[in-house]
Amino acid sequence: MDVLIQIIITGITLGSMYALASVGLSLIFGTLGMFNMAHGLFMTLGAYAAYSAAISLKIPLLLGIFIAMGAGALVAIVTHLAVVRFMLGNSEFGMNVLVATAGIGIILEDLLLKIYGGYPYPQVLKVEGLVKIANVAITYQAIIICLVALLLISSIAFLLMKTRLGRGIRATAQNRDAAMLMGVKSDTVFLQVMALAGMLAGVAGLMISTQATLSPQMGGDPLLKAFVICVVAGLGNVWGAGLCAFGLAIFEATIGFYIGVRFGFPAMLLLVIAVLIWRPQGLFGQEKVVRL
Amino acid sequence: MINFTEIKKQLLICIFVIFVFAILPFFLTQRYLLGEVIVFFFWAMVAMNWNLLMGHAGVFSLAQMLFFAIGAYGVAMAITFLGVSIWVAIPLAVLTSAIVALIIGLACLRLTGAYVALLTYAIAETVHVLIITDTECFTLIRNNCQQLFGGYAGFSRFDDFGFRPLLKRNWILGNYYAVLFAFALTIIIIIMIIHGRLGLAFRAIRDNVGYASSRGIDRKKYQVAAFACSAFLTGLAGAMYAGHFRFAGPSLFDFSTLMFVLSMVVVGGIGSTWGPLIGAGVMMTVVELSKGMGDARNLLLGIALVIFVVVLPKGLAGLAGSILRRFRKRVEAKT
Amino acid sequence: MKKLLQVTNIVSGYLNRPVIHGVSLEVNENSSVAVIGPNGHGKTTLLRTLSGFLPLRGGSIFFNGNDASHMRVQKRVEAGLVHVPQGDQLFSDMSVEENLLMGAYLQRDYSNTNKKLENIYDLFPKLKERSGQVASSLSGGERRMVGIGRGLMTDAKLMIFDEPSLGLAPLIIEQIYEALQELRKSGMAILVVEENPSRILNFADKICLLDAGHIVWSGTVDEAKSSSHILQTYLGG
Repeated sequence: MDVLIQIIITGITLGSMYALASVGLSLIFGTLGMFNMAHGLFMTLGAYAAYSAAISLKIPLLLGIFIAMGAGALVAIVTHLAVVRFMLGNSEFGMNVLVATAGIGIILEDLLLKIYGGYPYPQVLKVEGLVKIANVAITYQAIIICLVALLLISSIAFLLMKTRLGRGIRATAQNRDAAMLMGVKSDTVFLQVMALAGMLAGVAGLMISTQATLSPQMGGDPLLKAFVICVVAGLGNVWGAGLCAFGLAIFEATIGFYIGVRFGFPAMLLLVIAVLIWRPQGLFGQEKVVRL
Repeated sequence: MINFTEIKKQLLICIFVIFVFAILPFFLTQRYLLGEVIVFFFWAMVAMNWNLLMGHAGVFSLAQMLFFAIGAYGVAMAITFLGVSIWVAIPLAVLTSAIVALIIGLACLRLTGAYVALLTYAIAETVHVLIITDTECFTLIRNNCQQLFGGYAGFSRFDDFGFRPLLKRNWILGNYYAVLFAFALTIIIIIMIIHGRLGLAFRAIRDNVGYASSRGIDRKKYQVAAFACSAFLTGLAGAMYAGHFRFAGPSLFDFSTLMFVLSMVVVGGIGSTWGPLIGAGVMMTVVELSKGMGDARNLLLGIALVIFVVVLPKGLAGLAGSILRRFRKRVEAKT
Repeated sequence: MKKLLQVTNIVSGYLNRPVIHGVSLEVNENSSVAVIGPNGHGKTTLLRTLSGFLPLRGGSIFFNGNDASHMRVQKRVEAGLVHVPQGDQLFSDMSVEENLLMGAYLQRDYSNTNKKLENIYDLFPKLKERSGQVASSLSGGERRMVGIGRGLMTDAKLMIFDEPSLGLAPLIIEQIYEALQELRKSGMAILVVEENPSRILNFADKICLLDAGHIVWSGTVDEAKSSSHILQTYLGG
């Protein structure tokens, strides 16, 4: 029973971080049609930005979160303005932007390596201490992670469903041309989506770094997992991504406890392969009918 | 349809290229430089095969280094655990690479576009993680713990091609010509595929799947075939790598290495014929020249990827092609 | 009467090949113009050029006195040039009401928007029944109503309808054209493109015939009826 609770807690904590990472990625794919290979670096930058601010200015965690959001949003906006928006008209956009964002990711990673060095630091901006409920120990940091994720994702949900900005985003994601015919400025929407996704990624990075360490390559693993989650949910399905983030996190935690941590990701991968073979459009996705 | 004059022309270029590399050691005698050319052969082989899969068949796979690694690891493991000679290990490794590619190709059957990229990348990365986190000792070698797949340190100091006792100080020449042989085989086979019926089928499924299937070209069959073909020769490159360096380790799975080879394909021109060779040459030269500025390799390849894919999607080969066409038009206009 | 839309000698197309070669037409305030012609001869290309999706390679487009030749799609919508696209192009995961409200995206006056919504529901009672239903679950006729209703929600000065009767059963086409007649009576300037001309004769003030990217004939409905050549070739009889 204790093990079960531990698994659920680990799963929810992991799931919160994965959800923060995947929701942004899914949003980007849904609206721009792009696989953002630089998303891991958006996360890493958020973590490093908060770290640097904490080291030099001694800021509280809350401010650190805002800085992480800001850094993530900034790098996402620059990525869009400097590279992505020039590629949008091309018919090979999907493949090209994957390569371009991979290139951007490598450049950013190398820059971080040059600035901070490759040696992993512990994240300074974390809350220590834990609380015991029943027989299970829960760290305060884990609680903060879950709360932050809950707050941010519900804010995004509200934004998308109830505001004019959100309707513009959803309309562009569902039918770009029709949205333009309603007067929605797609260029603005793309920028908004990148900023939002970057914000979420930045916070995700900060949170992930509190559970492990800061290093320039730290974003690679979360990026892959976020992709896997988005694909299982059905690319572009933002809520599905959030749900699958938790589902897969709990799955990973379960495998980790019972079989071994190193098999967590391979097990996730097998699950993904199975899903893709059974339902290539993802669990919540819709089959695309291609008219020849 | 198949253009026989085109194939002949391309094969002539092949022969010329092979000839140039065959006589190169007579001009380039420094061991370091010859070693660099051998490395060029490896990357060029991987890049050409990747270009076949990605550029011609339109399959966006990120597992290319996995096939390379299988070739290298296959040789290392066959020699270390089975005790066979390298000349037996190489075919075994290459075959394994092709079989794994077949399986991956089947797994990717119902997927298209970036989904394939994701799945292949995830598979390669999973293998990577499983290898480096394996701490169980499979056997003891020279009193050192040797994990089944080499663990973090990989396999090293196993038997290589065996040119040292034969050629003594000029052993590298033996390696050079062995690898050149594999290289020559690769470019000839790839040219024949690209300009033959298989290449035509690949490009058909890349460009217009619906039309291709209405003409009887089964996307599934050719997608799997593309995976197997490109892995076969990549595995050979990996096998030769292990034979030359006497090393096979998880560094082969580094994302930056994958991107380095991708930059060769992109800079050369995805979907071209000679692009990968040009790209490999250019990228290796650029990295070599930049060695004075500290380790700028990753920065350079990142910049190359972004710039080329945004500004020059047809790569250097495409640029050369359009310059040639413009030149021809001018000549025609004058006459 | 004021010229609302003035299209002069426009050239447009895809990649290297122009599909429309020098098309000119005018739509006045309070009037309705129909463009008919066989499929594949440039009707949709023409409309996509008018709404701004395809760049103009020659000629000019003036809307409401302003040069709209190189205006972006969204700016033309803001100016009141509204295109109701072929095949509906609904927001498939949004409900009927959300789709309709998207038409009012540019409006800031919510009370006015709500009034407009009520009008649409009066015009198409079926939509009121299904207002919460997701758009992808509707029938063809209902989808068409949503598409047209969405267009009506805008502050359009001129509405362009791309084949409003496409793929619909005759009874539904009746309903659609009744709605369009109401629109016409209310004074809206309308440009309709149809492949099937039978409805047009009772609807439009002026007819233009688009053949192979050219306007080969234009005139009033009566003039069209009195020309037997036009009757046979384009109007079936």
